[in-house]
Amino acid sequence: MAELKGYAGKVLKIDLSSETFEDFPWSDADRERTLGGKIMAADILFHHIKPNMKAFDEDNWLVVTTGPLTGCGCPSTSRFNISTISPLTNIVTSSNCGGNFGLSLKKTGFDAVIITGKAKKPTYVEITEDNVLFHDASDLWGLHITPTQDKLPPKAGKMVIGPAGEHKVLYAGVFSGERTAGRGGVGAVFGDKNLKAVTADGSIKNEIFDKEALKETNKKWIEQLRSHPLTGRQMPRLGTAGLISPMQAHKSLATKNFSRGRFDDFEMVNGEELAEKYLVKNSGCTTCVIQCTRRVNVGGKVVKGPELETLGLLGANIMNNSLELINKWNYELDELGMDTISSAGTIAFAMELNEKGLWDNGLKFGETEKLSEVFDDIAYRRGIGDILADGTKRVAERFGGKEYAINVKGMELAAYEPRGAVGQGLGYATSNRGGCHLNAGYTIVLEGLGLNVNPYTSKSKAAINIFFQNFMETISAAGCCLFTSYVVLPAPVINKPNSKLAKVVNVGFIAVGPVIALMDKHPAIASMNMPLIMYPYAIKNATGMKMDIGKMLKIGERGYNIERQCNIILGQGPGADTLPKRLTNELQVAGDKRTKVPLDKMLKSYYRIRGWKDGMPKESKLKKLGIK
Amino acid sequence: MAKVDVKCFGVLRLDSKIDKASIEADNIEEVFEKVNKLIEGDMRISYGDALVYLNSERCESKRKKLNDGDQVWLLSPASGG
Repeated sequence: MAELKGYAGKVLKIDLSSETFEDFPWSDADRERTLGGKIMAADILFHHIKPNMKAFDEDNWLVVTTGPLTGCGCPSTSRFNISTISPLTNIVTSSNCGGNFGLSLKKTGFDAVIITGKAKKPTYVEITEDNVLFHDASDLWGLHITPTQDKLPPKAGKMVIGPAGEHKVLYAGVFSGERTAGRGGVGAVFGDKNLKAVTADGSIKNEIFDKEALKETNKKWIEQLRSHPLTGRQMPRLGTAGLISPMQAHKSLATKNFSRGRFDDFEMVNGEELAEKYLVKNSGCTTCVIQCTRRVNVGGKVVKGPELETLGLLGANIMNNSLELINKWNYELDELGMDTISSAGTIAFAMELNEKGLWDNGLKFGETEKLSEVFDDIAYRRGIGDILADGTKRVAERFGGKEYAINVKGMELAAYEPRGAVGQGLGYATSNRGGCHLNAGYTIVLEGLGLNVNPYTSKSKAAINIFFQNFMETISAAGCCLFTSYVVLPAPVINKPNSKLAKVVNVGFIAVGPVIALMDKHPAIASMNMPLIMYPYAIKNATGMKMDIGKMLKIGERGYNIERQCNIILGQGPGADTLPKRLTNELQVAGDKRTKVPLDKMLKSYYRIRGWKDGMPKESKLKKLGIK
Repeated sequence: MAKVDVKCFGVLRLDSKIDKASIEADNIEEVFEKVNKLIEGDMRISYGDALVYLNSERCESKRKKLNDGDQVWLLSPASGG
C-alpha cells in the first residue's frame, strides 16, 4: 500500500489465460519516479518486454493506468491510459482516454490494471473492490460500442471494444462511454486476447494529503481554466473543431493526402459551420470544466460530434465538403470501434494510390457516397477493407507510394500538415508512438494556431519540442487532460494576438531557445513554481510528494526516454525518426523554399539536446536517468 | 476606397455575429472601423485583437493599403488536439 496519498495504492495484475489475479508490486519510490499514467505504464513494460515480442503474443501486456490526480476533485482529470505493444507500429503505444473507467478503477482500490495472457473464449472482466470475475462474453461479441456498454452494469466504469477490435483491425480503439483510447490499435490487442470489456465498480475514496490546500488549488485552477480565452471560450464554443480555420490560414490543414495545406471548401467543414448549423450542445468528460465535446444530431440521435482530427482528415484530406457526412461517419467509426485518424488517413492514401493507378480500389477523392460501406468492410475485414484494416504503412508495402504514405513509424499522422509548421514536423518524426500530434509536443499551437512563433524557421524548434514533449508527458502521467496545458499560453497574448506584447512573445520564444535547451538538459534549473502552472501544487497537495516544474520536467524526460528504450528493445533502430518524403523533399507551395520540413537539420539539434545518438539514448543519458 | 471582402473566424465570428461582409476601406485599420459599424451591440474590435490575413497571406501592418477585390480574414487564436 502507498504511504503517498492521492493514489489508490495497489496495482492489479490479471491473467486471462488462467483466469487468476494478484497484486503487482508497486512502491512509493516507483510512484515518485513515474507519477502514473503513461510513464508508469512505460516503466512496467520496460521491465517486461523482450526483443521480438509482438502485439499479438500471449505475453504482450495491456497496462491500464490512472494518475494521482484522477479522482481527487481536480479539473479535467478523469483520464486513463492504455499502453501495450502496438500491432500497427510494433513498438509501444500509449493511448489516453476520458470516459468513466479511470475514475471507477480507482474506486475499486487500484491505480492500474495489467492484463496478461489470452482468454480461451470471449470474455468480460469485472473488477470490484475485493474480487475479479471472468464472465463469458459470447452474448456481447459482435455488438457495436453502445449496445455493448448498454448490456454492462450501468453504474460501473467501462472499457469495451467493437467489431473492429474483435477483427483485429490494426487501429481499433478501446472505448469508455463516448471517449476513445484511439491510437495504436489497443482495441486489436483486446480483441486478440478475446477481451470484449472490462468494468470497474467500487466506492473507495482517495485519501488526500492536504484537503483544504487542494480545495483551494482546485478553486484557482477551475477559475483559471474558465477565464482563459482558449479553455474558457474557444474550446467550449467551437471545440477542437475551431482549429480548422486557423489551420487553413496557416497552410497547415492536411488536404488531399497531405499534398497541400489548404482546402478550397474549408468553410463547409470548419468549426464555425459545426457550431452554427449542427451543434446541439457542448459537453465533456466527468470532472471537466472545459466541455469541448460537440454533440450533434445523427439520424435522430444526439451523439458525440467530430473532433478536429476527424473533421480535417475526413474533410479536406479526402476532398469531402459535406459536414453532415463527417458527423455520420464519425458516429459510425465510433460504433464500429475504430480510430478515426488512422481510418481516414489510410483511406486518403488508398485514394491517391487509385488516382495514380497503383491500386484499383474504387476509392476517389471527393467521391464519398460509399465510404460508410468501406468503413464497415474495414471493421469486419471484408474485401478491400481487409487490406485497409492494416493501415497506411502496410498498404504501401503492398502497392507502393511509400513517399506519400503519410505515417511515422507506422502510425498515420493527425490533420496538421507540417510543411506549414516545421516544428510540428520534427515532433511527428520524433514522437515515440509514431505520427501523433500530442506525443510530438504539439508545437503547432505555438507555430500559428495559439501563438505566432515563426512556423518556418528551424531555429530553437528542437529545444521547444523537447520541452513540450517532456512537460506533456508528465501532465498526462498525473492524470490530466492535455487541454489543461493551454492556460500556460498567457491570456493577454491570446486575447490580443496582434498586439506588441504578442509580437515580443512570438519572437522571444525563438530567441530564448538556448535557455529552453538548457532546461531540457538540466530540468533542475526550473525547480520553481509559477502561478500559471497549477499541476505541481495539485500533485503536492493531493499526494504529499514534493513537486515543482523542474521535477515535472525531469519525470517527463525520464518517461520519454524509457518509452524510447522500450521501442529500442522491440527493434527500433537508427532512422526511425523520419517523415514521408513528400513532407521533407517536396515544397508545399511551389517556389517557396520555406515550405518543406528541414528534418535532418532539426534532428541533429534534437538528438544533441536529448543526449541521443541516431535516435537512441546514450549510455550516459540512461545512467543519468536511472534507466536500467 | 477599395471594395474588399471580409471574413471573420473563430470566437471573433461567434461574438461579432459577422461571418462575412463586403466593405470599402483604404487600409486594414479602416477595415476594423467598418466592421465595428456592422456589429450590433457594444462589442468593438481593433487591429490588436485579431490575426489578419490579406489574400491568404499574414498581414502584419495595419496601414497596409488595400485594392479592389482583396480578401481580408480576421481570426482569433485557437487550440485543440
